[in-house]
Amino acid sequence: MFARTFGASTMGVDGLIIKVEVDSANGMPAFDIVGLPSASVRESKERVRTAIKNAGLRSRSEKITINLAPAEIRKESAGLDLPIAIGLLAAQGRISAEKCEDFIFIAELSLEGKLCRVNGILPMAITARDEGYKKIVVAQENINEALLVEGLEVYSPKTLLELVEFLNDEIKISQAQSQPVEEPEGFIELVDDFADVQGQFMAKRALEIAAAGGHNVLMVGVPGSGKTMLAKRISSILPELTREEALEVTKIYSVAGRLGVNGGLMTKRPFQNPNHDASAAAIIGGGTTPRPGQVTLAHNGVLFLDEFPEFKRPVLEALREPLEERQVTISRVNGTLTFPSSVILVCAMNPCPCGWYGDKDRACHCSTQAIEKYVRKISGPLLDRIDIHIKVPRVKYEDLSSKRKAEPSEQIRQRVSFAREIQTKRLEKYHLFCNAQMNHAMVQEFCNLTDDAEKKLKDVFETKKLSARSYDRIKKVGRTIADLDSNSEFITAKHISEAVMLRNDLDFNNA
Amino acid sequence: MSEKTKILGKAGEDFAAKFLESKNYKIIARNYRIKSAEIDIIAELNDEIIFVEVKTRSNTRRGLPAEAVNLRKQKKIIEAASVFLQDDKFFDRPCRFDIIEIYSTGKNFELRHIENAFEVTSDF
Repeated sequence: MFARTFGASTMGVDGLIIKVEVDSANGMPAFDIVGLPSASVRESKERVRTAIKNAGLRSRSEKITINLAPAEIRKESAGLDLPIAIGLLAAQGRISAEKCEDFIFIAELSLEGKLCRVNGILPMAITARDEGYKKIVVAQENINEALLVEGLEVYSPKTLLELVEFLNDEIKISQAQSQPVEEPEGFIELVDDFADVQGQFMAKRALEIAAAGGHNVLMVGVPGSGKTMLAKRISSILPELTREEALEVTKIYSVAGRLGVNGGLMTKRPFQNPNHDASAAAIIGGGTTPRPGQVTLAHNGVLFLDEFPEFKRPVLEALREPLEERQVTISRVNGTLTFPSSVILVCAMNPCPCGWYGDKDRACHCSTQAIEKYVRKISGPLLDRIDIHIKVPRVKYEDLSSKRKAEPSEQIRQRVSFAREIQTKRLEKYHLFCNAQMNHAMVQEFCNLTDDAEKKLKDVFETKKLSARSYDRIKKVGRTIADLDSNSEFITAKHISEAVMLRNDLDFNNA
Repeated sequence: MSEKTKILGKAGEDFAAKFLESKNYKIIARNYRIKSAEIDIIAELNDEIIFVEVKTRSNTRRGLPAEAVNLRKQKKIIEAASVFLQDDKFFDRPCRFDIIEIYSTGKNFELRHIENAFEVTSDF
């Protein structure tokens, strides 16, 4: 007999409905899975058979053929166990084949017949809803994720036997309720706050502007000046994720298997700081079937590259496309996938190998060649994509020993959120939400300069020999500063001056 | 193969056939042979055709009898079975592959029947 069920798999950060066709017929006993299964799907044969047996059900040993459609796409998800098992039982007449077709089944099976969690439930559930399915069956640990999708009935039987009895109308299972997430007892979450950073007012102001407009930042400073400390606190002043953004982030983390048990919506902006040893594939994504890299995991959040020049050159250059396009396309044998990568890139570096070049009080003992070699690792085009360049000097003793608390992050965040609201409203029709995302045409449309500002910018452009991109970038940063400055419609000369200062290409690199 | 093991094997197969008959199986063929392979017993129960491989051992120094039915041996049995099933009489009937292990302890035999011991895989 023949039966058909529906499961799902993921492609990049999107779900894909997989049609599982099962035929069980007389002939020499066999169990074949066709339709480009990966190793984990091929092995599901053993899990399915053992799970059916241990659930107390019996499957006849017949010539069983399973086809996973569409045939040309490689199926990776272990979550196909459940639709295969249900399809097999339906093909052998243990369940009504018609009833099974209303559901999407996504779960791995344990040998004892329990439903286990799989990665990527959220994108699969979204696709299922968009394609018109109403009911979904997932493991208990995946309930929270599936419930994020409105308009789906979520069912979560504990075992295969329960599910079979449910499909046969022998027992009733009510729709799943969201599961409480267990917090470890006595767990105090450490929050990095700008109030802990003494001094560095310039740097803080620059980061505030970066957060408000979504601009990339490069911090250059002597060792121990607080670059890392500052960078780690950027997430604390970024505006809260909107629901749409949160769903995007959760999708990525779901596919990457980083949501954990009972994981629900991600409410915090991601902060990724890969070690400088990372490969290009680790940063931008890769693998035979492409998987998201750090730049995608930092989507809608911060990608922090500490010791920027220590990263391998190809890795840094690979960042050009994701920074510009806000998405990264990876081509491999198994297909070409596009991942979102809208990040605020924050880089930190020393001015030279010894770290003290340019310091007022301590001598640098690097040779000119050494400094040049160090700085040359960062190419002009990459530097050009970073809107804000700041110097982070050594902290003064008076600042460090001061008992006065600096301005807390919450206060800064209020200003940032306010500026973001203005931007979101302005860019609403383009579905963008911060100034850094504007393209050239939008810069022309929205960055209105006063006459003074125009003159100032012309001066700077002529004397500094700026590139066209730099010109746009300065205008964008100027726009952000104006937005932070209580909703002023025009960008004034003051705003432009600050923007130019923040883009003060460091004296060792006259890009 | 020594004369002694041949006799032991034959005795084991007879014992297995008797056992199957006592369980209401109908023996269709014994020592069914094609050019390269042989099936010890072919039986029938409730319309299902059962291909049985019998393995007899007098000790387990070289592993359990069933363990001796390795992939190579399975492949041979499957080959022979597919020839047998060509016959119109047996076309499109459910079938399965069993192993009967027999431990010979001097005069007595102990028997273990493994139903559905193996199946056709595409890994050959």
